[in-house]
Amino acid sequence: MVLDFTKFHETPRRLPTTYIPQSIKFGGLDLGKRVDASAFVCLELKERKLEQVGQHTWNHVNYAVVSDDIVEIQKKEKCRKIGFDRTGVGDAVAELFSPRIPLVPIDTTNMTKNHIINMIRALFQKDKLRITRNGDLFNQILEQQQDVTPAGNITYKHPSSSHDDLFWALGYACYVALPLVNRPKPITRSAGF
Amino acid sequence: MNLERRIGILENILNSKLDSVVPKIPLDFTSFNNMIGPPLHPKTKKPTTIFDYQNELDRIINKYHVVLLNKSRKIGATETALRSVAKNCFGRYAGYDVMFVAGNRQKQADRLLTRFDKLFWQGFTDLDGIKWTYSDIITKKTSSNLEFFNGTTIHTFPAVPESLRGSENVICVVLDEAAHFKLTDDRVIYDALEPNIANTEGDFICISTPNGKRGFFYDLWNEENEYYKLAQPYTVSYGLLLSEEYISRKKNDARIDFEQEFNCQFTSSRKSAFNEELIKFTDVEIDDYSDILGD
Repeated sequence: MVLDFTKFHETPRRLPTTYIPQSIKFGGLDLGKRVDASAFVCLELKERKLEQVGQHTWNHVNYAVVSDDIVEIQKKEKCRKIGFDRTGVGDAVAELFSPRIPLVPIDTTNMTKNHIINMIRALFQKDKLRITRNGDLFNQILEQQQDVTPAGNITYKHPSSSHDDLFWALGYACYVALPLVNRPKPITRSAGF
Repeated sequence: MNLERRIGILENILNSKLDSVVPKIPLDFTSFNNMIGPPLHPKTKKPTTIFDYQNELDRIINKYHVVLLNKSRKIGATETALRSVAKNCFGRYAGYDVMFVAGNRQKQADRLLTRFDKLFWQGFTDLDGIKWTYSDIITKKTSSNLEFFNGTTIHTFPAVPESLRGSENVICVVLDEAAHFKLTDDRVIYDALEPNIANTEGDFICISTPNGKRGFFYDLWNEENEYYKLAQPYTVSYGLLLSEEYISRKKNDARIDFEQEFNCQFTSSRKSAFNEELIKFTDVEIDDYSDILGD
């Protein structure tokens, strides 16, 4: 038997400098306080586009239930990162979660919130984010209101009569996913013989 | 008013000479309004006639009984509904209870009752030429209750679900500005109210200007259901209660969501940070994790 080594030269292997899987999932978790529910949104990053694949809302249940459920969801989705709001009850509640959950704390100051809203808007504009038409998330996005303060600053709020938990869960998921959405295309190099 | 007293009043009416106890009221809405005094123009304060779209609302209420009125602002829809209820208090609603639900505080709801009460301040002369004074018609008035001579009682309530449950003998429920109750989930208001008319098969009248794509008013408007859906945009009152100049000014006012406030459209909430067209949708079926979380 004669080995034909020329074939190896015809199809040189191309190895990327970094390994990027076909799809990565990210989660966002908004922990309800007194009035709001807790909500989770899961996004899948494929070809540099985020697409919503899951969501769940917990209406006024205790945080232990939420943390147990997140463990189950994580077993299924295997999110690389789950962003959550560390302010308010966030930090304390995070201690209830299993250390295996890849929680990423986000300090949600007014400035961060404005940044997240602008980021969501930019992702939609560039067609890098797609969500489900059905359910409450769409309505919650539309209900985010923009105000201009007397000093000329833009602030965002939602009507006191409505929820915005899914909206912020989406925002936190986008926030932790953004570095990979914006990541430049990996440089590949030939590694032939 | 307890049931015993109500029955007593009704028996008295039945046993007495009917014509001398009950005012003879015209069945026609315009004639009824001419009898009690026509509405006043909100700007000029001069009496106005009853317009076609106001007659139509009264006709729809009396024909279909469960009505959603999606209306423009400033066309006198609430006033029309009050006058339609007032007419029915002498007929279909006699001896029953009527519930007015408005605003989130009792004071807001009570203001509606004061408007209703004002309809009878001047009294009226019925079709037999008998003069009825205010005290002949209204036997008792408190800030939140009003009793007619024939046992009909009007109660006002704020949009608080606990206060709306359990009323009996209700023949009519009127919800004013139903899309504007400031509740996280306003469906509880509807759920609390709707069974109240179950025994009497009474009227359920929901009136509102749209307020975004949310709330039970929006849901009922878009669902297939038993409600008669009546839309009265600004055009029905263009040149009547709404002057051309006023509408032109509102159309050009960027602070006003004209389509929503005057044209019966459920647009996004005012000053929305996101334009509806901006949002992109996925066809992927969204997992709600009910298979693993079990609810």
